[in-house]
Amino acid sequence: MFEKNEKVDIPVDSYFSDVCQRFSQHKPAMIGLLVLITEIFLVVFLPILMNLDQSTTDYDVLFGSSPSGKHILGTDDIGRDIFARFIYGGRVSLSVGILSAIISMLVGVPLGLIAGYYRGFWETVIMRSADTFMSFPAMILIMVLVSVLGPSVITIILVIGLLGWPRFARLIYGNVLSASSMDYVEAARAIGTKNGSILLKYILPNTFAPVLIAFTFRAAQAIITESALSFLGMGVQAPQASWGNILYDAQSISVLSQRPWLWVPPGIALVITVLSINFIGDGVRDALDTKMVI
Amino acid sequence: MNRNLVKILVGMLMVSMLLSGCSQGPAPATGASGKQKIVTMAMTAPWDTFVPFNTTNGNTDVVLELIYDKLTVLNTDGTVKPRLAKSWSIDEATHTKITFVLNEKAKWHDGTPVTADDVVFTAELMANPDISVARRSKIAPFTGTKGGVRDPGKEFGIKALDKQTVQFTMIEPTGLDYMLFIVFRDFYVLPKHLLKDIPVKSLLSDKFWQHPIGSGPCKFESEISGERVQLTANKDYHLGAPDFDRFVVRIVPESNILSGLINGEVDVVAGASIGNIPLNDWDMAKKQEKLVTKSVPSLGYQYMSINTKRIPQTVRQAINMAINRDALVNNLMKGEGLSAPGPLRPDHKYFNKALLPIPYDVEKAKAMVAESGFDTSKEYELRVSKGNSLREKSAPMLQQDLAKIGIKVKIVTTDHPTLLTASRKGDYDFALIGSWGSPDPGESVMNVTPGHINNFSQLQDRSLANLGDKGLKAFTFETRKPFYEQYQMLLREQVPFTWLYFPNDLVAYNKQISNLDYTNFTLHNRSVWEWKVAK
Amino acid sequence: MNKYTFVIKRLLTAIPTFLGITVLVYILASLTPSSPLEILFNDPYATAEEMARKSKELGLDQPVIIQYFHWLTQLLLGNMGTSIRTNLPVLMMISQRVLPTLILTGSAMLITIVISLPLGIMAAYKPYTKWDYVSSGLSFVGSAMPNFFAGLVLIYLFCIELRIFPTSGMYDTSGARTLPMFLHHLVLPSFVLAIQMIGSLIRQCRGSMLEVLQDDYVRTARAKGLREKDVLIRHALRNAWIPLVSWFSTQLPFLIGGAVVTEQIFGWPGLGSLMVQSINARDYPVIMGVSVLIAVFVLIGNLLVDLLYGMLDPRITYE
Repeated sequence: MFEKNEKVDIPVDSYFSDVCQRFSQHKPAMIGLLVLITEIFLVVFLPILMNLDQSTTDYDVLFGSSPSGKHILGTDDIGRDIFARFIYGGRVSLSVGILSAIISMLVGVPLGLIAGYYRGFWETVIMRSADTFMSFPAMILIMVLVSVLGPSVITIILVIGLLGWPRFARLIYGNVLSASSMDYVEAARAIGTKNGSILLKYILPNTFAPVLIAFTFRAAQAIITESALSFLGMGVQAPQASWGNILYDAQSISVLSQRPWLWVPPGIALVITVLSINFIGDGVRDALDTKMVI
Repeated sequence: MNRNLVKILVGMLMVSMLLSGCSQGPAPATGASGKQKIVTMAMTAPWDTFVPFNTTNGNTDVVLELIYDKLTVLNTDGTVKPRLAKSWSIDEATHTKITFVLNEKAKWHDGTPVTADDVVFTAELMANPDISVARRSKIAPFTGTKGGVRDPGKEFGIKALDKQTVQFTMIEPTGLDYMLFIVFRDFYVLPKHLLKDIPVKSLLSDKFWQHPIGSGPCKFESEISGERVQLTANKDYHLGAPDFDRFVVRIVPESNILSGLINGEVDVVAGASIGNIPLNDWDMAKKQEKLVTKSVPSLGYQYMSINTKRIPQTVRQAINMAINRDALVNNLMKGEGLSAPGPLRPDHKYFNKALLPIPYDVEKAKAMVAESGFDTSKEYELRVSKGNSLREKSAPMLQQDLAKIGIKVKIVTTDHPTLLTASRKGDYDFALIGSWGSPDPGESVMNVTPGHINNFSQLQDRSLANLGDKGLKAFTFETRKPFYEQYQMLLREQVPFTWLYFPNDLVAYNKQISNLDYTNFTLHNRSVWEWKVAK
Repeated sequence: MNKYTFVIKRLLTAIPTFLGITVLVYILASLTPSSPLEILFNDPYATAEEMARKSKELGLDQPVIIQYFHWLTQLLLGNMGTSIRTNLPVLMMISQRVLPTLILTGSAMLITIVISLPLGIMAAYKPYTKWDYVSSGLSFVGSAMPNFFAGLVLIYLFCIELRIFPTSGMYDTSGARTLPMFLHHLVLPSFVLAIQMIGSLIRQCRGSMLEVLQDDYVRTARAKGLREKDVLIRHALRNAWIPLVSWFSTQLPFLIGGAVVTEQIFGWPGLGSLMVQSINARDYPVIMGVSVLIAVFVLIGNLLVDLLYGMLDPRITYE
């Protein structure tokens, strides 16, 4: 978004390579993508490469020790390696973000398609419940739900994921409505193409762009929600680490002022991750925006 | 248009701010000296209600104890001092009658004298079947009640002998210490003259509780729901006027307590594990010039309850032997606590010295588990509830201790109600629970009594309960001690719970305040009228 | 369709939404594997008989559906019930907490508007300049910053290092409750709550202003020789309002969710902290009461937004 696209693009043969090209010119998005890929790589492979252990107490060093050669970020209050917990916490935070966004998408997109294409009864039911969900603070529903199901990574992914569907449904619904009135859809319908094929062949591809953007938005939001929940003590629970619950443990003025290695890394990582995802979303938006081609 | 919109928004905001800024607060009544002495006490979670008998929440007791009077003041060393009652005695022949003589100087905050009728009235309320009374068990030992509810066919066991004397008659002979420390600990006396005309059905929702009147050292002034209770000193208090003008109980998130003390927003913490200095902040607190810090040994203990229906006795004994209590106390708690051999501290006068040293032998324990044929392929659940960070952190350490003897456990963290439900129903394997402890050695008996709802370990064997019963019906230290020594040994053998540690109460207060004794805070005894305030 | 029939129609369609929310929360709350009795009788000497008596008194022994309809009829009769934890009427408990939350969220909104609108407008007015980079950077970091993390950092900076602001509560303890004291306590929480919205509003504002600034009537206004300030405020901003108002309505639920967290950090005695306490104590009547209030709040907010559209742009008709 910082780049002003001076030159006027001549339509290229392939839409896709065109999009890719525009995306690759979007510097923040490329940086975001790079950061995110690096992060994913780190949280997936670092534990294996460095043989990290997030749950064993090291009785040889003081509990709550400062950074040292053996423990890069020191140890926590029960003698576990903080660096390992930070990396494993990243696994949890990233997977909550990505998996719950996938769940929201998988639930929301079909519902939106049905509501937009078939209209009538299902439209009312689906869109009304979307309104209901969207007009009520998700945070409060999530809190109640988590207290019902018991806090664990899986519940949290499920809960955040399932409560995220209305945004996708609304988006798709709107898109389907406008796409349905397009000439080529009318034409397809006129030659007797089945509803299912129309949905899959003509309408779904058109919703690709907005869904992708909404996906990045949801993933970023889910990461923030998980960390906020953990911060309230209702999120991912010990002994499993997440960036949110590492920060939850850091809520004390001594830790804040004297042991910054406990809270700065997860805090910064959280901000950078969300920032990168937002940049990617922005890049996708710019790259797919048809207005820009003209 | 848009400018108007902003104006409207700003206007609405200002009006509401003014409302909250000015309407609720009464103007401070400055004393003759011009400067008020204000004491602010911090706790981490809010009080629930001002109805003393319908709560079991320690945070509520903090406030109740300031507004209302209890009959006596209890100390952790086992001594009892006068409060509303200036003297008391038990009928030595039968051990079924306790008589309290009230202090004739005691007055309600409205000036009316406190009489024995008030005590009887309070007891009648607590036994009234039409009122919700969470503390019903505290009235159950007396005649004329059945399970704590008034039995109309029988004479009520609590009656006023004269204006100042009240007599309690028990169904079973019981020792005086047990009665004072367990039954009367939370007996707050209520004003008959203000409550007697309120229909019982609407008593709990009456306006009285929104502006309660008691006879305690502080008068209720105002509250901000969930944030503070503001009280003024009862200068006519019969045990002496408090040395402050105002007393404020504030709710402060645990993480902000030390900064509050440093900034002077808070003067004292409520202690007793409802308002402590977090362990992480302890070193920093000790360095503060303006604060007095104390690491107070506490009667309260933490234990791991073991479901005896699922885990056989040999394995329970092995587990008791496998727990590295030294690591819990020295490493996790930085030495601010004590390993627990059982429910009583080694310096408790009823402690059985044969329990020491606490056995710790991982190899032997491992062999015991292996020999017992216990299913170690299965993953068991260790339940822990949120809210006590030390306890939460102890769970992964216990998990590792158990792993060393071949028992795999998964930590399941939930909120406290969920854990309580599971433990009461017996739907768990291991659970971490705490108790406040007591100078009375019979405090833990309920938890191992078959049929009682708090029999968390689902014991079937009555022998522990029987020993407790015998101890309850012996009345002197010398006669009681053998029973409780046996009781402690049997606990060690049956291991319904494996005791972990007694955490010290980490507390701090402003140097300007003195003469306060934190050791007794766990017994809801803060004796604020004795505090000296040099502000 | 005139304004009034529109309002009535909207209110009617809000009823199913409202009922949906209550059913959802009620069923969820009653599914919890534990009951309010556990906490009420969290005492070593509690007895099973007394718990059973209380359970009956509260109607907890009845099927959830019946409990729900009982609750609903009471609600329609204007009775929100009595808290199990505090014995106080739910209505009273909630009414004590509404004002702090309204002020917190209101001032957070105000801070957001005051900071974001100028930045967003300037970013759009002078795109690809320093103005744009600074405000866009701010907006990205702002929206990526979880508010509790911002809270930690700000408490560290302002309460521990600089000691300018208090860490918690609404007033100090002098007994007097004055407006300056209140504002002093309000600054940090409202700013923390505002941070994410600031990020989001700058983006929204920049986007819609950019679009408007390219429109014909803005060019015309410029061509007429109007001063730039007038062009910006009279013509451009006026038309950019509509997407901003709809932004507001989508933020409302987030704002309340954020308030829950912020109130916890700063010990602010609002609806959010009441909700957290009530969930922990399984205090169903209060959980339901707060949910109902928030639902009403959001529904009315949305209705107002729809009405505002009409005020802002006379071309919009109510349908």
